[in-house]
Amino acid sequence: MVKVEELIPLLHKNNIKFIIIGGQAAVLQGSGFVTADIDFCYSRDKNNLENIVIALSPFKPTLRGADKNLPFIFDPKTLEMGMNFTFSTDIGDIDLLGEVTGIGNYEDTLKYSETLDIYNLPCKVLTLEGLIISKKASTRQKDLIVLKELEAILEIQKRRKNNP
Amino acid sequence: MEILENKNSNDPIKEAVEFGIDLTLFYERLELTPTQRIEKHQQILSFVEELRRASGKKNG
Repeated sequence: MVKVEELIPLLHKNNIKFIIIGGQAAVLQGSGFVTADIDFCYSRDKNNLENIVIALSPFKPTLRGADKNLPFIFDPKTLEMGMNFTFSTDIGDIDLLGEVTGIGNYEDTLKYSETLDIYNLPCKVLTLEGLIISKKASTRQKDLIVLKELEAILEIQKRRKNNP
Repeated sequence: MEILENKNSNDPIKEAVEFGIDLTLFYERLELTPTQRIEKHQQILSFVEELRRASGKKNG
């Protein structure tokens, strides 16, 4: 289980540009979805890649599910050469995605994000609309299940707004 | 629960309920702050992981 209460302050302290997406974003938007990891869309600018490495290196990131013998160095160059990474770390499983399915890169995803207060820190989180777009673009069965709930939550919120 | 009433045939709320999703729990979560939602989720996840461990011990 990812230690969100440690991770969020850590990302802030290191000035990392990130948006919470995926299952944890769904949870923050009111979904009952249960997920063990946390997904971030991250800015791929050079400074951000360096800051990510500085912040997460003490937690010994390794490629989740990869052969233990596969050589892997967690540095800015590795991040620059890839796009989407699934890491196991000492503070839980962390997925770093340079692109969100159906939406695009960090700058595109910002347009579908809102700022929520998490552990007294302002964090960018994918909106319900953004989550629905990304889940619709996904072909994974589990995404189709959560999609039904997200669409219902969005409808409930619309009705509440119209009939406060 | 008035808000759950079906007003048209393409109602995502009705679809979700028919799909088996219990939206009554959503109203409880709606009252929570984002941090409280994360904490509640962590509690549920801890419980699920504990069940998995217990099941693993029993079966393995």
